[in-house]
Amino acid sequence: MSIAILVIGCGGLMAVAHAAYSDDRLARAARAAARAVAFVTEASPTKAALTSVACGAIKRELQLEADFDCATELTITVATDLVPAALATGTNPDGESGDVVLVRIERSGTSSVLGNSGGDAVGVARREPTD
Amino acid sequence: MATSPPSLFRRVPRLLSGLARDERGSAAMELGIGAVAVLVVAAAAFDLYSLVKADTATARIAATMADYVSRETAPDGEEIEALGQFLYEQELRAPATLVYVVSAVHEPPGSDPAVTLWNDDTVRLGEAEATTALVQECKARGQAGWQTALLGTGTDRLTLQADEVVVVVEVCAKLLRQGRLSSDVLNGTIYRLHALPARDTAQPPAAPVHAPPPAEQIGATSAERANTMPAVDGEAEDAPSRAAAGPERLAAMESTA
Repeated sequence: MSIAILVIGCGGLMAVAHAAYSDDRLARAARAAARAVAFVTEASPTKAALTSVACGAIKRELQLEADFDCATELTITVATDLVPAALATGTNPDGESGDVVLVRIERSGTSSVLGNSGGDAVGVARREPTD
Repeated sequence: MATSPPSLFRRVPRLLSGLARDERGSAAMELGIGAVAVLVVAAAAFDLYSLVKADTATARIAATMADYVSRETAPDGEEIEALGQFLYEQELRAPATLVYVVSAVHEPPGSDPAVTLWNDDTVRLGEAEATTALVQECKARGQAGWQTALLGTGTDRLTLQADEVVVVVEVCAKLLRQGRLSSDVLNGTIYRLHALPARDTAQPPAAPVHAPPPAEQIGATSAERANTMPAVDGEAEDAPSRAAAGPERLAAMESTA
């Protein structure tokens, strides 16, 4: 019985540590993606280009293999030129335009390389001046 | 007459020794004690998870806020509040009291120590009383930490480049009892700071300008701020005048230098 309690206790602590680690990884990935998108100085980049930049940043931050498929494993949402008040909705109020980038990552696949975090994460960064 | 107290005293030890020898129900007792231990470990692990998660989230919040403010020469208080609120909801994701203390520090040319141009603790999320206490704690930790290193006069102080302005964002958070299983075991204040040089070297950031609070909150808010916002360089100033003071102070320092 004592052994069982010890095993359960250690297992619980390891699960907690791993969950915290996975959540942190996802949040770091979202932040890295937002910062990478913020450095795209092209005036009107396409959504696909921004998503690709975000995917590259995520792979680099999490040290994933080159063949990691972001489209399968993650749902990446990128919104640019936001004002801070529009971060919650993702749409600027009429007539307003800002320079904040928002990247939201949600897990949509089952790859174990992303850990056991089941949620999503957001990253916010301020965009560099565009060309 | 035969039932006397000595016979009772003789029976109690016999009962206890019998109980000690009795092994029936030992598994149930072990399970009871073990279950309590498992539950305590589970509760502590859950709270530890919340604390670690909040700690890393607070570090990210400070970095994002510092990145935002350091790029602005005239920060809009409402935008900072909106960003602070969003980060609180999306990054922290836990019931907590959270405050931001944003400061700008200028390194004058020469050997004089750096000075604080302004500090702003207007963005407070949570109950007024709790946030006031948290701001005070946050500032106390800042004074004992980065302010000693940057603003102190010791030979081991950190020096910036001449005329450099650095934005320091301190974020203090305290998890509330909701969302935690234990109340007092893991209950410390989370303190994180992030410092970034102001991006525009020619024009240092001014203090954020916030919209005036609603009429019904004016009394309480100003009273709170009078208690929690120390004046820069020991002067008695109110928040609005300090809000406009950053560039003027810098200009004055530059002219004297």
